[in-house]
Amino acid sequence: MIWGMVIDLKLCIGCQACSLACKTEYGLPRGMYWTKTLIDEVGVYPNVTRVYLPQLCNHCEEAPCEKTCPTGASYTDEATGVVLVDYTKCMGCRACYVACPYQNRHYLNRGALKGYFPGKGLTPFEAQSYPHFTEGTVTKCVGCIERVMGGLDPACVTNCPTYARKFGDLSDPNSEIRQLIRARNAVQPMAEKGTEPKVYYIS
Amino acid sequence: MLHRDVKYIEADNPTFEVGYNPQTEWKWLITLAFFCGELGAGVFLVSLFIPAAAAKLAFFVALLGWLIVAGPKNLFHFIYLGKPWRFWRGLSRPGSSWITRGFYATFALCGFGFLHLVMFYDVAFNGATPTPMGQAIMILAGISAFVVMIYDGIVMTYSPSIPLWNNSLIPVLRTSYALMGGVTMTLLVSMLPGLAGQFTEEQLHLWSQIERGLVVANMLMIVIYVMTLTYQVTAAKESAYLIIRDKYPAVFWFGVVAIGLIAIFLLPILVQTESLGLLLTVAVFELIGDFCILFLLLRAGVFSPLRTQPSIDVALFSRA
Repeated sequence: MIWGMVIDLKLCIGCQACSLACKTEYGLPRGMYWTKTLIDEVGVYPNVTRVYLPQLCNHCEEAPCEKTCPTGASYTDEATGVVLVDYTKCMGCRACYVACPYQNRHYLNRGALKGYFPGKGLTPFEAQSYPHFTEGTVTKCVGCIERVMGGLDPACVTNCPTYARKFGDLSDPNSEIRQLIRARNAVQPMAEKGTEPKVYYIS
Repeated sequence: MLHRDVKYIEADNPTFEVGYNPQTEWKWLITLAFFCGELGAGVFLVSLFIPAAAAKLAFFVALLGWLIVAGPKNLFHFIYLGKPWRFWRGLSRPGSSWITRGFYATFALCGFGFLHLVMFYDVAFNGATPTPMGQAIMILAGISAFVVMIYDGIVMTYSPSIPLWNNSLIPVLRTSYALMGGVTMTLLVSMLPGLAGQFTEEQLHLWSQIERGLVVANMLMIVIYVMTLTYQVTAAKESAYLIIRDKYPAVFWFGVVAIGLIAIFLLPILVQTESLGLLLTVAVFELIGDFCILFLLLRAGVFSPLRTQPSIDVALFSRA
């Protein structure tokens, strides 16, 4: 299967449930979001509206982060098409950070894993989740690959209260997301960059 | 026309709003590493074009360039890395990564440059004739220096996310600055006690003219570069706005334009006589200008705002 996601912008209410679900699933350090919903204001008063734009790593087919990585730490999982980082190979040059047009690469500074309550040690939750990270390396959305391989949807999809996020198999022409892409003229974010993102937006 | 369609989001105050996010990871250490790499490689490359009659001068200029690359450039790069002791892993992707190619070129310059200095010592101080092996090593060192000089500009150009960098003028501009640094340092070293007289009056005049030519070339390139920014996507306009008016105008107008270009062009004309004091002042001004332009290129880089459809962009353009 090839990992893919369709986000319905009409259904998104900007509640950030996806952001929190992801943060909780992976115990992300303070200030780091692998997915978040951006807020954009469009129009001129009095005809103004707010647009909510959920964004996450697009797991691009032609990922610029992977191409610029000098160590080979950034790679695409062949079974799912998910772009991942091997923390044991990353040397922290941050070339991927400046190459990603979607700003979905996050650098873990030295001292970033000190927890939410500095000076008071790690909470049991932090103590369990932080060993998965390595300071001085770059981290990113892992596409909930272990959930997907176990037959579950990614955490941000499962926790969306309005079903704005749909997850599925891009390689299956009859999957729900492929049908949505066809039927509702889905667009890829910054398609002009030639990155072939696997996240699509419909509205 | 410069304008803001969405707001600039300060690096220390991130929000969930759509806006121009500055890049926050390539800061002081990488700026210093790029600066030293370009300057050192430029100085080394220029040393290879110094006439044979001034071989002693060529040796010291090459030594200066080699020291700048082998010392500070490598040191700043090393301590910049999040995991410095994994630097060797950066050699594994020469097929696709310009950082890897830059690493190889830097190591090659350190190696071949050292061999060149060792073999050139006899030529410079004992009047020996250059051997074919020595000349081959000199060519290899020169090619390495050229790649070191240009690769960080290419690394920036290859970044599709930051329109300020995604511009083919960057490697040319940085190369031109590196060469200007090389010529300036050569002129400065030629005035040092013990080396004065290596250059004849005519040669000194010629190299000064070359330097002034490079100043004019850089001036033109900066004007063209800024003009192209104002005709590109909005994130490039935002970067131009940050550089010229909003966040860094003092660095640009004073550091890059007044000191880094106009002063070093006018000083030799106004003072008339070539002296150590004058060349030292010009060299310091040139280094300030060179560092300021690199600082601006790195600091004023903003990502294109994340939006879903071009139609939303069009709506915002019409508002601006």
